[in-house]
Amino acid sequence: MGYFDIEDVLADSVEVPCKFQFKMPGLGYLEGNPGRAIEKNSKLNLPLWLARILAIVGGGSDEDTEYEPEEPIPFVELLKPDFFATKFINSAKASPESLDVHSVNAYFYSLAVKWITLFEDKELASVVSEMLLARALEINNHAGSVNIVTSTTTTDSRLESHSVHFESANKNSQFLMTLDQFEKDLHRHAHDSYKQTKRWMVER
Amino acid sequence: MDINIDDILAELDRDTTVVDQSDPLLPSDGNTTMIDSSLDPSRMDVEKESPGVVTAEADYRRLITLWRNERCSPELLPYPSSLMSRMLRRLQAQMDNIESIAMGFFEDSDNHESVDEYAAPHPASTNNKLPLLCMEADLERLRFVIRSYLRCRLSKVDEYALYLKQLEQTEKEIMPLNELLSAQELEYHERHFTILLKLLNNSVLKHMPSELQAINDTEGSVSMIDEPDWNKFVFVYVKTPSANQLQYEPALSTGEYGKSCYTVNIEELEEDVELAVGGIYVMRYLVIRELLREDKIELI
Repeated sequence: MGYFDIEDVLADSVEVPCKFQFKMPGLGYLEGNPGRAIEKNSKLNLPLWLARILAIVGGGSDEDTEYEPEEPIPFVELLKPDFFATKFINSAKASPESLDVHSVNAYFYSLAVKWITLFEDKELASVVSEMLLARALEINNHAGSVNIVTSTTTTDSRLESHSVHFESANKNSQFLMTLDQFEKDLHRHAHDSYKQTKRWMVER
Repeated sequence: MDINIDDILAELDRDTTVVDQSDPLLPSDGNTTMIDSSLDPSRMDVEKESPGVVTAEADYRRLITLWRNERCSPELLPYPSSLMSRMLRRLQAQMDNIESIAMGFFEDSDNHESVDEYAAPHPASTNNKLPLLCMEADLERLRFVIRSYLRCRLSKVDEYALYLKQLEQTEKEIMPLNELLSAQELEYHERHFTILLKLLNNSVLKHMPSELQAINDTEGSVSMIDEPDWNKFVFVYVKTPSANQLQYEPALSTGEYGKSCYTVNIEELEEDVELAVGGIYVMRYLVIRELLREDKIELI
């Protein structure tokens, strides 16, 4: 996850629900009504790149002086987003292969990694790694199934490679629609390497 | 995994060309002398440097290994300057060599037409173009490897430009930048970086507030310096040390466990891993980095 990583930038802009712990004057435009203050305990959705910082940086304790001896309260409290809710976690435990990750969130894995680093959530980490493992098997199966319909009969190698590509692309679309962005990359890499190996062995 | 014998074959090809060219009855034109003068000196002075160890074949093998390592490793590996200079010199010598032989062919065919009575021994020798073909193909292969190797390095220089810059500035690193990179790569890094910086400055950064104008800001929420992914998993082949090295090895890291000899390896997370000699593993790069430096393993 580098600085110039497009996927990372996109994943960072996913909004998560937050609760403000302080009254913030002047920040009303986050709620959509500029000029006003954000009230304490108001809930809004902030992009992760903003929420992550605000959830770490301690607010000034000039308002709530009784908390001062403890560690400073951050500006916002991150609430559990629905893509990490127990309902979803349970279904991920039950059958990871049939889970539609893409509809839950397109950047599920990178978000999960960020979330886990933020909260050191051991349980979520184990669930997600189990899930990734189970789904990776499935992805490998799908990526490995390269069909060669017109393999040796056609003489035109270009036509053949073309059909190889087409056949495998629209075949398994049912499962492929449920992949998240990371898994899509994984699948494409794996599929390309399988395809190229096969082409190298068959052709010539 | 297997011993790559292509280079041996190439070497044989080269030897046979010498024999082939010197065997046929061609004492008059400069072919044989040309070959001798172009091939042998490089070997001769190589032999002078360190007798018996450095040969063209070993160098080629080493280059292939380095090429493979460079392609697989996440970080930029040190530049083998002496090896590369030897390789490039040989490349040049062989190119001259081929050219002179090709010239020899032309001279021969000229001789043919002019002097007919010499024609009898000639066709068998001059029509034998295979050696020349092999030499050219071999040369082409070597050039491909070198080209691919350098390109791979350049792409890494691109990727880690900021990181390398930082290495240069801190100076606490063991490896100075001019050992890591060749002179040309240093220049490339320097100038490419300035051009990139100029582009970014002119298009975006000058509109930013002054505290956001740094391009190598590490204090922000995301560090702008992309370090190599030290924990990238790589495939590793544990080399078998040669017989005379084997007694010398235990001082370094080869302990005897079980039947075969193992290299014990400490993973920083929780456990020790034993790398059996001759085995293939998938490992974090940082764990095996030292071994790679000491040339005990190869990446595949």
